[in-house]
Amino acid sequence: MKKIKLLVITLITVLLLAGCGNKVAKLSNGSDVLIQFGDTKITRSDLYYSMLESDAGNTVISLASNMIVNLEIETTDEMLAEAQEQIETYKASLTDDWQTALEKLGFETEEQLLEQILTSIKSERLVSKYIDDNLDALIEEYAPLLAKMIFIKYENNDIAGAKQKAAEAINDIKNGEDFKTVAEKYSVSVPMANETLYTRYSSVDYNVLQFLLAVMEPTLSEPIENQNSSGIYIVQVTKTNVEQVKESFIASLNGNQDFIAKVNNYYFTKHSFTIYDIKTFEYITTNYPSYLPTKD
Amino acid sequence: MKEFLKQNWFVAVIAVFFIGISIFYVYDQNKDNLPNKVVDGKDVVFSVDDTNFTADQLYDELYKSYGKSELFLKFYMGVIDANVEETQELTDQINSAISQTVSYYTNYYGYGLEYLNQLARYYYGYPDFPTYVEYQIKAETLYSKYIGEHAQDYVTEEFIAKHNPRVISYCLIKLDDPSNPTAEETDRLNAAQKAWSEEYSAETFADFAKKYSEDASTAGSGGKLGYVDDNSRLVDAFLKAALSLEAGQVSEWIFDENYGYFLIKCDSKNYEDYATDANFLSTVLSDNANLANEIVWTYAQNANITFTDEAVRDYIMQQLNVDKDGE
Repeated sequence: MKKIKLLVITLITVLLLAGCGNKVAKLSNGSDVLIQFGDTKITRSDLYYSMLESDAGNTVISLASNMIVNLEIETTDEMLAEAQEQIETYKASLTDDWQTALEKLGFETEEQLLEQILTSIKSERLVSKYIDDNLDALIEEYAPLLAKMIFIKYENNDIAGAKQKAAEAINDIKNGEDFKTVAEKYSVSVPMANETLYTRYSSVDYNVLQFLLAVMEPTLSEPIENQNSSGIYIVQVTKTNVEQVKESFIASLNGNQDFIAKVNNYYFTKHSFTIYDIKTFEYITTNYPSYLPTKD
Repeated sequence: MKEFLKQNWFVAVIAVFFIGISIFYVYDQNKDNLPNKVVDGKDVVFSVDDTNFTADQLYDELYKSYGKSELFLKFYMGVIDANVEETQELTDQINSAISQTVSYYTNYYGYGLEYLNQLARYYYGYPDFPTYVEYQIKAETLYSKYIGEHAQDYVTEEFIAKHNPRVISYCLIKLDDPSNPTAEETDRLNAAQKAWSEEYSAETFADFAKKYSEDASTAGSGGKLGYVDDNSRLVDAFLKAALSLEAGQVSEWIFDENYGYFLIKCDSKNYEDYATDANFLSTVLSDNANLANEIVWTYAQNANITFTDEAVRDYIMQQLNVDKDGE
C-alpha cells in the first residue's frame, strides 16, 4: 500500500512539473523603491517591465548584434582611422562644447562614442564578410550574370511583324551595331537595354529566366517568346565570369532585405544566441523573428 | 518482489503504462520551453556564445534610452491616481470619450483602436489609448479641483474682463442654402420664430430649443452649449452675439450664411456654473503657461511623495519646470 502511495505521489509530482518552465528573468534588486506616494510604490521592477514593453526587443537585438559583430570582425587601423575621422568631422560641426555634445548623444566619454562608431563600421562589414566567406555557394545558389534585353511587343496581334523586327534586331547586333541603339529602334523599354544584374530570384519573364539559367558564357539569344505570348525578348548576356559579376552581385545582396535577414540568422545561429526570458522571447518572435536561431 | 509482480502483474502493466504516458506528457509540455539560466545569483536574459547578459545589465541599458521618460510618466500617473477619486461618473465619462473617439476614427479615417493604441504608445508613452484617455480626463479633474480651490487667483476681474466668460444655450434652424431657403425651410423658420415670439420666453428657452432646434448635438439638452469665452472657436456672428448678452438675456435671431438662423441665450455668468467645464480649464491653463505642471507638483507633495534617487527627483522637477517650492 505504501508503494502505491509513493507511486501516486511521484506521478502527481511529475504532472505538476509539466507546468513549470518559461521563466521571466527578474532583477536582483527589483523590489527597490524608486518613487513612493503614500502606500503606492514604483519599484525598479515596475520600471523594468515598462521599459521592456516600450523597447519591444530592440535593445536585446542591438546588444547581441554588437557582441556578434565584435566577435566576427577585428578592429583594423583603417577602421580606427575612419571612426576617428567621423568624430573629428562631428566636432568641427559643433556649436556646443564637446562634453555637452557627447552627453546629448548619450555618451559619457569620447571612448564610448568611438566604440559605438567602430561597432557601426564593423556591422557594415559583417554582411560583406558573410558574402566573402560564402561566395562560391552564393554564386551557385543565385547564378548571377549581367545581361541586356530588348522587348518587341506584338502590336495589334501582329506576330509575324514582331518576329520580322526581332530577326532584324538580331542581325543589327550581330553586325556590330550598338545594343542600345538597336533597342531604341525596336524595344518598348529602352532602360532594359542597360547592362543589369540578373539572378535566379530576379523578377523576369519565366522563359527568359530559363534561358539565363542555362547560359554559361556571354552570348546573344535567339528570339524568346515571353510566357504570356505578348511579345519577344532578345537577350544579350554580357558577363558570366565570377570576377566580372562579383562587384554588382555583392552590391545587390547588400541592398536585399531578405538576404540581410538570412545573414543575421546565420550569425545569430552561429554564435548560439539564446534567450532565457519569456517576455524578451515574445517580443523578438513578434518583431525580429529572423534573428531567432534556426534549429538543426 | 517477483512473487508480488506475479500476483499483481496486471496492476504492474497498468502502472508502467501510466508512468510511460506521464513521462511523455512531461516531455511534450516542456520540449518548447525556454531554458533557464542564473549566473552568480542573477537571472540571465540572453547569451551570445558564452557571454551572458543579465536582467540587471539590460535594465541599465534600457534606462539609458527610456528610464527617465518612463519614470516621469509613472510619476505623473501616480500623482493622478493618488489624488483623483474614481467615481462611477468619472468612469462613465472616460468610457464614453474612448468609445466616441474610437468610433470617430473608425468611421472617418478607417483606423480603429489599434491605430489609436499605437499613437498613444509612440507619442505619449502610454501602454494603450484607453489608458491615455483615462489619464487625460483624470488630469482635467485634478486641474479643475486645484483651480476650484484657488478660484480667486485665476477667475479675477482681469480674467473676466479679458475673456468675458459665460454659459450659453442656443437654438438652430438649419437651412441647406441659407441665402436661398426653400419654401419648406421658410415655413419651418417662420413657425419657430412665431412660436418664440408668442409662446416662449427666456425662462422657457430650454423647452423651446428642445422642441425646435435642429442641432442634433444640443437639442436634447435644451440647447446647452456650455462655456464660451473670447477664445471659443465659434461662428463669428454667433460668438459676437453670445459675448454681448447679459445673464438671462436672449439674442435676436442671428443669421449665418453657412448654417441658418441661431437664437442664443446667456444662461449664466457665474463661475460656479462653468467651474468644471473643460473649455474654461483650457483658457485658464493657456493664460498660465506652467500651471498644469505646478498643479501636478503640488498634488505630488500632497500625496507624500518620496524619491529614493535624487537624480530622478531632479529630472522630474526639471520636466515640470518647477523648483523645490513648486514655483
